[in-house]
Amino acid sequence: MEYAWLAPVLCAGAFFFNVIISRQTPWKHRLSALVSIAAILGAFGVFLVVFSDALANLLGTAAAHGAAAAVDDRSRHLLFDDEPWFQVGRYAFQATLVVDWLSVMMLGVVSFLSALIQVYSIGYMRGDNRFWWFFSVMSLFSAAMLGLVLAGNFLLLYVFWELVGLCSFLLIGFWYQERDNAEAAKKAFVTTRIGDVGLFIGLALLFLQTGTFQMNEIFDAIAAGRIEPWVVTTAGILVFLGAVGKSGQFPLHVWLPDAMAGPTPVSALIHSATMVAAGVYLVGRAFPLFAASDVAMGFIATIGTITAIFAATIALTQRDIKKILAYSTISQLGYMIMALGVGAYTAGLFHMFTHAFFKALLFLCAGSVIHSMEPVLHGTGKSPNDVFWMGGLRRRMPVTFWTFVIASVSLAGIFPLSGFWSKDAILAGALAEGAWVPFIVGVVTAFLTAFYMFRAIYLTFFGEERWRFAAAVPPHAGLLVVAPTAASVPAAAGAMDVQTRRPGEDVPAHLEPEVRPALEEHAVPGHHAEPHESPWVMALPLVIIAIPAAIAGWIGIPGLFDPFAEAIRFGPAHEEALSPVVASVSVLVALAGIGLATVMYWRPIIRPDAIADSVPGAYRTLYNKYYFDEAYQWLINRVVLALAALAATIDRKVINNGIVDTPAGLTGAAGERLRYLETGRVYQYAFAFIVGIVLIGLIIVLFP
Amino acid sequence: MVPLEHVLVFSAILFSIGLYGVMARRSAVLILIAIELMLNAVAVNLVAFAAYVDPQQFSGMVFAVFVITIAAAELGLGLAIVLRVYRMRTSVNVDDLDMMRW
Repeated sequence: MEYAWLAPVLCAGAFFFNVIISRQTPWKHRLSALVSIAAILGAFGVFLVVFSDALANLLGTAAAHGAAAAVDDRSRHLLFDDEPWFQVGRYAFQATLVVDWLSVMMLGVVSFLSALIQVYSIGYMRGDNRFWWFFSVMSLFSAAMLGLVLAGNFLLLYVFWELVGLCSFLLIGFWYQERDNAEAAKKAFVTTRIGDVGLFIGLALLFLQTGTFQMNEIFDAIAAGRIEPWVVTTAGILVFLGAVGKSGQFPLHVWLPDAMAGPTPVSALIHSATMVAAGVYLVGRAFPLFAASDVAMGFIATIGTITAIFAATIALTQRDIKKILAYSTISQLGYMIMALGVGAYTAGLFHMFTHAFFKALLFLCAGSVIHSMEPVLHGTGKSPNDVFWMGGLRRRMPVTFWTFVIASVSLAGIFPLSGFWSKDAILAGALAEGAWVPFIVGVVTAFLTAFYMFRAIYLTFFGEERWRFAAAVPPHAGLLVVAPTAASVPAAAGAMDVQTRRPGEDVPAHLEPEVRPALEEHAVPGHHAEPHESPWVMALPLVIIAIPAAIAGWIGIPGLFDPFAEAIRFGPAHEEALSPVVASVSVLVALAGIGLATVMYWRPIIRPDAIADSVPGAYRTLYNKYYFDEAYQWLINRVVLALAALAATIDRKVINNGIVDTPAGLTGAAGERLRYLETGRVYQYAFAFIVGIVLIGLIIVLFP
Repeated sequence: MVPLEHVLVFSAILFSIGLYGVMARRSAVLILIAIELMLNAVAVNLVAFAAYVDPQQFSGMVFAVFVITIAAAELGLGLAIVLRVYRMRTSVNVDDLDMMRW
């Protein structure tokens, strides 16, 4: 336990080693990957040691005092809590680390996923000319994230909080040569910063009230009622704003889908499993603060509920496989925030735990698909992320397919995979707290989740191999493929013979039989690249992560085997048996979602484009993400830039011309007049000098 | 023993002569000499106070020695500058040295 600090320090060491030493060597790419992976494996080793310590501690105390008393105080260890980190005036700041079950769990999740994702990156990033830099920043990120989960002092937490944001920025903009990627990185940085300002003000408010950043002291002060209730509420909401920004909650969610511009391993590690979960983690870590204020809790629950359903509806219509997963991530994070907001503390954090595995796995699978689609669609002007240009990959990429299905089923919440247990815990928790709206929204979101995940599966892995025809359709023409129009059949050579759907409209996985000949004819001959399974260095991590993605939830089976609820809870443990009603409701709606996806995208019973055409307004709103980007752009153009122009005018006219230039001009003019007093005659200066001294002497004598 | 007042009056007279010299003379060399007079008036003052106020200590005397030393250095520098000025302008009249005004 005392060695928990080694985990972030190892990764930070790897970062500094890479940027100082590795880059100077001729084998910088290999060396930096080796050092980074060794460091993160070391961090995983540290986790194993800490975990076994904590377990031994728990079992030892449980034997002595009975299970109920075991986890309360004895399992929380503070490191470095009385050594000052630095001192400002009368305030000392400590770099306290907290080792309790929550941080041990996060330590495990982060180091495990980070290690496997870095191995995967060896394959995914192969040949990139900044390969070494990728691994260096991944190490820095791991260090910051491990530090963040261990921090027991809000100031320390804030430092790591910003550091993970920086790494996110660097990695989203990893391919900054493309302007869109650089823009996405900037957007992510600025948007999360809006939330971070709230977090900072909230922490400052708590510091003003208590004179410390130590979490346990602040929570003690709150529990003892030494802080005014309105301050607790205000600080709670402000601190939560940090989580809103970091976890992509409504209305600051707009950066997360754009963050998919980064390399896919980054999306898997940072923008699904760890960093974006840091907001949820913060709410969990600072839960005593929020729990003390009903208003703050209500606010959290509201934001989470809105986010959960709002993002899930957007995910229904997206074409980019990574954006589907990104909106799914936002929706699931909203689920967790909602659970924490209604008071289902254990359930929310349990879902964060299980979600990390299957969502990371989904992103890695998506990366594997994109990796194999890239050469196929190369030169056609089609995005390799576009599910409409995939199809039929099931037989070509069996490992990716099966792991993707496992993760999707888990995310959809089908018994007995891990997503079922955590989602069920949230729904049961919401019901137990009497929160009807979150419960209903949770059920509807579960339905939507199952639907859009299976939509992605069918479009990607089943049906026609639509990528064959990518070259037949001109770039930017939107999609195939409904029916040949009468007019187009005798068209001139090179003209488009197939009717294309407008961008953003849905297709079934199977082509209409009558379109095929037209397409076959125009499938460009000689375009022989075909999708294939990714190399083992990418496939192996998929298989390994698939195991916890499927079974991680088995440590939270209520009433049967529930060490998770025993270890990570707020307040006394309460035994809850699995509610058969809630469980069957959640499984049934998930199955309904899967069924709907099946009849729409696999078996051509309901035509998705017909549905899209029947509600064009709603479809377009969803496809354009409720026009949030446009609204923000309008806000920035009209309001922010206007305010900025006003400030610039005030700066130029009032500050610069008035306050700075006026005194300067006065001084200059006065100098212009006064310079003729200077005669250059030494004895005149001496005379003035003596007169002055005499006068001063007289004044001192006369007015003592 | 000569009373302290006598010494002080002597020193004040010496200082005033020096002051008059600084203000009235036009030759840089004579101004330097007048400055020397003022410094020596101060040194006399220091020695007098040292002898009358605290005969056990020598701080005033030591100070006087310092004043003499500094005066020598200052005069050396001052004369060197005057020499340079003379070489360049063939005059040491301070009224002519007014190039730096405005």
